[in-house]
Amino acid sequence: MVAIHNSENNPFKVLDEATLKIHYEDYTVSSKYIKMRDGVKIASTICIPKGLSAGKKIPTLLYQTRYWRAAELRIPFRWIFKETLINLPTPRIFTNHGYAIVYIDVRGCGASYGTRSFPFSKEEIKDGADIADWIISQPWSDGNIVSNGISYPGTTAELLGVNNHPAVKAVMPGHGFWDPYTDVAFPGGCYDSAFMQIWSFLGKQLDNNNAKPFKQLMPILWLIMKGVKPVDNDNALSQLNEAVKQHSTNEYVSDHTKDRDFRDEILPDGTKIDDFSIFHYKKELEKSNIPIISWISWLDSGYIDAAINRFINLENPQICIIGDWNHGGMYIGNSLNPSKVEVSPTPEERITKWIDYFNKILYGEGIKGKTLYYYTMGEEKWKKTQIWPPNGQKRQRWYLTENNSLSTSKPEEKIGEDNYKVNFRATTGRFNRWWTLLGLPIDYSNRTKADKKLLTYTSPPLKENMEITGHPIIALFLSSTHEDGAIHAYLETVDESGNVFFITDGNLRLIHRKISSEQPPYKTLIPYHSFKKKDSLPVVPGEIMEVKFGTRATSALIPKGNRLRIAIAGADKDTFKQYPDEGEGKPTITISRNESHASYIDLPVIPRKNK
Amino acid sequence: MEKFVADAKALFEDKVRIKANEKDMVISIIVKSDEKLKGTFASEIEFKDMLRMFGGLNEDIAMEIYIDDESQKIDLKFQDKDNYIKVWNVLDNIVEKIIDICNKALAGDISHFRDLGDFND
Repeated sequence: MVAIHNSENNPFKVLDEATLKIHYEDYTVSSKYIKMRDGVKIASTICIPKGLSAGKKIPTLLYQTRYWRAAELRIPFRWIFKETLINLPTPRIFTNHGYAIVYIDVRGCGASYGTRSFPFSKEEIKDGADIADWIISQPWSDGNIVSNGISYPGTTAELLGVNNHPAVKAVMPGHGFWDPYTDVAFPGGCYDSAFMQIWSFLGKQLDNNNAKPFKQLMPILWLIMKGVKPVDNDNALSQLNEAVKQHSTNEYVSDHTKDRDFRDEILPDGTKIDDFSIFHYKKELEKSNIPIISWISWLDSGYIDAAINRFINLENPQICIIGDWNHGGMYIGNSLNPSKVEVSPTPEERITKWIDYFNKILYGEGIKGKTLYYYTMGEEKWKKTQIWPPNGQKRQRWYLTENNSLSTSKPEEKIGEDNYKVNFRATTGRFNRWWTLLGLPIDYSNRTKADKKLLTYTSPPLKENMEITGHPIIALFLSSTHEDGAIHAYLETVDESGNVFFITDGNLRLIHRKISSEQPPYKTLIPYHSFKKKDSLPVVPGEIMEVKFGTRATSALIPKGNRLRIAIAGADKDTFKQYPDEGEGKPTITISRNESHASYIDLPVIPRKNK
Repeated sequence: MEKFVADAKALFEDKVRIKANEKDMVISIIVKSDEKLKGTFASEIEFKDMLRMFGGLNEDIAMEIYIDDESQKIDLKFQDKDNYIKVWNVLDNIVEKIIDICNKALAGDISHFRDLGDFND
């Protein structure tokens, strides 16, 4: 075993020596259509280690994407690079280690034929089994398939397991969702209109074989690629054009969701948003018992809770890794350590570790039980646990009190409240945990300024270091002047110089505030809001209500001398839909903080040993 | 992607040769590769796009463009010396220009691209 990082419990710390051996130096690329059970032709790009001897059999990494499996590069890039240039990091890392890679445009996307009404359809999932059949019939295949990916391809990797195909030996969802309603489309019941619109727009352009939208968003991609790669010998582009023509009837999620509010609303084609969740396939995934290696970061959208929900709900053997990077792991994502500028591990180190895990599953002792590795921001330390929440977690309650303070003592006053006129210009900006879903960096350095538009409650300086690991829970007793609204709450810390650092956040649309007594669709560690139409409760203006919700999970060390802060907003303009709608005026929210209505936050604290 | 720029520079220098024959007013671009490149080697419109987008050549220069897919070679023939010199000045340091634009793209310098126009292909 070889140590490459010197931090105890760092999952990237140790590699098996066999993993470090390079077997090949380069790879060949070919591209062809694979016919599915219903005749739809799916475009594939196949990378094989160069120099693979005749008769040599190797495992395959399957990667199914909706973002183009390979690119038709512009000249002069086409003259010097392979069409797999856009697949980062380079496929060479896997092929050099003796893996074939099969990149797939999922049906209705890229150069594949077919249409799609919504992502991750049953047909798209079944295609994975057809593709697996094709792979193991190839002369170079040893009959073993593993699958990975980030974001959309991460979810296709996980859903490959649903097929219970015997050749599929492990799946690795990187930054994938569990519950699309709460993790991405409607966090806290609030519509993430920015992401849903941009993602749908980009998807439509990609399906139309149009690279132009990247000019603004990712100029380097616009510069180097002109479109999706046609299959080999389609020089006249007749097949590509035919496939793209079929995409013209594709449907996009923003069209299905923009005017919706509830989890159980039927989409136009008769499906519900839960139908393409991961939890919907719990039974099939557990039946497969394939090992699941998932990885995520604390500040990635609601996907952080996806990782934890997957860990606590699926009985499959699991490795779960939670680090401090952005969506996809290209940039650092650590709001408590602005001095840290380099992402760790590097993408190359990360991929090498994934090969190490796959080798262990295919040739070694496999993965037994469940292990979760997590990085505590601020402490800058990796930790390891077999259970979540980790052993020793205790709840520590902080009350909202007079003079915009936080205190561990419950207020004793009979009367106490604060009014806040909602500022619809309040924002966490466009480098927040939601926009990173587009691959953008994460930057919460604006909190000192942003808090000036919010209602804040700040504690005295902490007398000891405090580790918060888990889901903080917020309970607010409040009234509003309007029948609809939303609370966006930020847990922050303030240093001795007054600089504000983001820790985590939670939000809830007020009509979804009912805590349901029904069985949730999966085990959850925060108050269960069903987000169903039947449970919706319009706000009665002026009437005090309890609004209790979980924030996204975190692990953060707050140093002694820093203060805790809760900052409360009624909007996050650059990300979420506004509640109530434009034209209905600005609500005033009154937060109660008195003996009978004591608003608070419960922090999941891990007691520190005296050091 | 940062490594992409370093790789691109090295690969351009290794694989792409640009030669000028001043006497005949011909500029040749030859791409060397172990195996013949798959798909379309180049089209005239792509080549002009490359000169405009990466080389900053905004005027329509009179030249004959001969593209040979088999030998992976592009010959540019000129009747006018000034035109020959203009294109040669663009191609002579086009690798540096491409690398500079890629670096700006990687840094997310969108303002730069607003004025760059668009590809015609």
